[in-house]
Amino acid sequence: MKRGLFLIPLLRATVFLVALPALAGPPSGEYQIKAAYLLNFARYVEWPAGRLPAGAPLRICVLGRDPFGGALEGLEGRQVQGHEVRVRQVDNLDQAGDCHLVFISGSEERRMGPILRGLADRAVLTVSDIDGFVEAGGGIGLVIEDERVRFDINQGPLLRDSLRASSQLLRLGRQVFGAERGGR
Amino acid sequence: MKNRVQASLLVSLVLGCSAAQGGEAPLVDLTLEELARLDVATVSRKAQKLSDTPAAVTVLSAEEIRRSGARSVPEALRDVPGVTVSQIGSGRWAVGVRGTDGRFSNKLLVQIDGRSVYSPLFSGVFWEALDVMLEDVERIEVIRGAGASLWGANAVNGVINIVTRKATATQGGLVSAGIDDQGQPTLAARQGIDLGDAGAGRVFIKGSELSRSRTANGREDSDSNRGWSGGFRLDGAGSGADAWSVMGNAYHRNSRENIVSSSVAGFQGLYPIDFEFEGSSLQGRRNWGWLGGEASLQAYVDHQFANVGSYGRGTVDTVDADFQHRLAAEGAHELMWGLGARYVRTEIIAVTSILGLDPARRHSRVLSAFVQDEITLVPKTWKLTVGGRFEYSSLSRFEPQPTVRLMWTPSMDDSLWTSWSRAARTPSIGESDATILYGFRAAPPQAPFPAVATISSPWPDWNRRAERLDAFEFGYRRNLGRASLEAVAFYNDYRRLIGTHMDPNGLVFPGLPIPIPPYYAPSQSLYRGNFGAARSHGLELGLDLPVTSSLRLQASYTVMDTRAKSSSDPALEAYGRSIETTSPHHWASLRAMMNAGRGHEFDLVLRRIGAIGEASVPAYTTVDLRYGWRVGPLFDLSLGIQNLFDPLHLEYVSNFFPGQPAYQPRRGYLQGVWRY
Repeated sequence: MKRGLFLIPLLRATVFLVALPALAGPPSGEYQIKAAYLLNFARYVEWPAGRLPAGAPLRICVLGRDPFGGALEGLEGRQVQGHEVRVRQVDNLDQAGDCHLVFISGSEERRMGPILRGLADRAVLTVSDIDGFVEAGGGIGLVIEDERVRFDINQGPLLRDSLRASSQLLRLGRQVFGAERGGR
Repeated sequence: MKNRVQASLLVSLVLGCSAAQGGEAPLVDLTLEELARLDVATVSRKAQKLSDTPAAVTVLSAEEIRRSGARSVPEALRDVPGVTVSQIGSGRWAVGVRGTDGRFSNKLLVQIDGRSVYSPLFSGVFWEALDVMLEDVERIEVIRGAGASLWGANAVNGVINIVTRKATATQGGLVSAGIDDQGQPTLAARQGIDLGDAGAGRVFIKGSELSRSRTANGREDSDSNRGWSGGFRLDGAGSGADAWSVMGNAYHRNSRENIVSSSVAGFQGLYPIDFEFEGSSLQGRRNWGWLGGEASLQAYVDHQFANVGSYGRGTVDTVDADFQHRLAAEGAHELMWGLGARYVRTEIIAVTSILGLDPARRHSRVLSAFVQDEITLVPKTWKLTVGGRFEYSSLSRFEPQPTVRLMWTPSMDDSLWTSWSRAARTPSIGESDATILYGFRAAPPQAPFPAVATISSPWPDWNRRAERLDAFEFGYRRNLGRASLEAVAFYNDYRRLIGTHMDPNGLVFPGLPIPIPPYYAPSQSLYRGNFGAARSHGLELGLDLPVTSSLRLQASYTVMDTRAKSSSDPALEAYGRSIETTSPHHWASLRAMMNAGRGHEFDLVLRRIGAIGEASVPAYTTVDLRYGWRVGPLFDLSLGIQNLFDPLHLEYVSNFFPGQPAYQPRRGYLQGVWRY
């Protein structure tokens, strides 16, 4: 009997717990947001004309295991700066070198160094959510802070590859490294 | 009735919302500003990352550690499959992987940023001296199974790697203050330092006083644990594989526990022993690109001092250097190799006749080399890993520690793997050199003396060898949408375990002096050597299930059994029995993490731990509850209650220093974290 009485407040608490998310609206999936970021990076970064001629498709690639679970399909065929977005999954550096934006999956964490060196000077914007990606010489690192997805930018590799990040992108970055040479 | 209507209304509201989210205009159309404002349901990256690893690995992210409410490393490890964590007392823990629990789980290697905190004195970790600032921990990797081919000796049943965040990731300041229901405070502060182009640094300091245990009748015990730790870390702003870091730390802790003394001539009781721990370390690491691959060189010096009441003290000084090189992939091969050297100076000064060491000082050297090749047999489908570590230790001898792992990935979402590994556990200084007076036992009634002294010492002809394990594992991992499932079966065959044998010559006269007639007690020696053998097998299950974007469930279950080889020698038989009864046969946990929106979060853990030994520790069930509230962008508050429905339970009885059984009461704590 005593135990039964005790359970009532517990049940109430459970109802309360279930209720709260309904009021706040459910948060979105991490990789849905990250996929949307990829498209925005393509919007706010300018590739050299030789690398991305007018009207040519803009290739967004995932190197390694695809963590997006289909969220990237929504990017396929969209228009960005007059280019049509093509999404593909790639397995090696040769294929990745043909892409404009490469998302390096967490599965490649241990090979991150060789990958970044392999993609250097090929005008590829590298993006990843591997911890320490930007510090390791990656272009844009996605990080989760305060339950929100934010991004860090390393201007070093962008400038090296003649990729121009717009001021809006730089302004919204959580941390911008190598900014003084970027002429913000 | 009214409640039920409310509930169903709410349920439909929740479902409605989720459905709306699913069919809504895609996030893709949002601008950068809008994206940065979205709350995210964090999904573990574990599944994607780990589906590539032919080993039983669990990575606890900073977020999971925070949500667990853990205030120490052992607490954070509680719900990892295959891992048992039991509190022995104030700040004292028995942490075991796959059944080698105990206060000094001698088959588990623990490292912080690559620096070993495994003590060679007793082969184990002084958890009571380890006060890590969890706010600055990036992740804790728990590798179950023999990791010796990569990590070296003593990584027999598992490796725990505590990885702290880079200083470049901890810019700004942080103050964390907590208090528990006994009024014991914890205070930690960290300040990040911007070094401009050079990189970044941080300094931190933490002080804490931990809660006391209870005695069997619920009274407050007099055990205690308090102290401070502090340190710094610098990280270079390198790009590419070029990076460097320098870090150092220092700590001081006092811990008191009550030892149950064995009786002789009416003396028996509790003796408080005050432990004092002190230590410091300095470490540097450099990574650079080399021959198309990546190289790293790490070196550290480490000093540890422990004072055990008025009984003795021990010092360990370590110098370690480690080099690793991962070559660029060459065809189907990905090669990695490394070299390591370690010099350890130990000194144990025993003040009483209970403990004697010969020699009191030791200089030991370990030289090792490892190589590993990851071979892609069929792209994306079959992968073979062959590797080994070849180690020479002056405390044992040459120990090859090979591993062969095969992984089959039939689809993007499934992976099956199997492995055989061999690992070695070096004898500790204590095992190798100590003569310990265990105590006295009453002599048979007709004997001309009242008691017999039991003395444990190394077997005079002992050719010291490392303990050896052959481990076989079979694992399956599956991604089910966002959920992931893992099952690992293991079979361990231990040989050359360091156990004790009775001296075949029987009693030695006159033995030791005692204060009652006839003023002597003959002694019986127990000789230590590589006499033991055991086998264990078990199954570990883990499930990670994001039910909705705001509710995530994690479940784990482990069942295992250990059987030691039986012996006609009573001492060895007793040793075998003690290995069989160091851990529960099964344990399980269920964890729910709920994001209630507006910065409110609830975490609930339900655990069931089976009985240990022949019910010397009965089975118990606990429920822990945590409520976290992000009051503002810079301030977090959390309230935790442990053992919610359980006023008192016992988790472990210390096997090393037979302490008074320490019961764990219901506990509460309140913690605030400010960031600026």
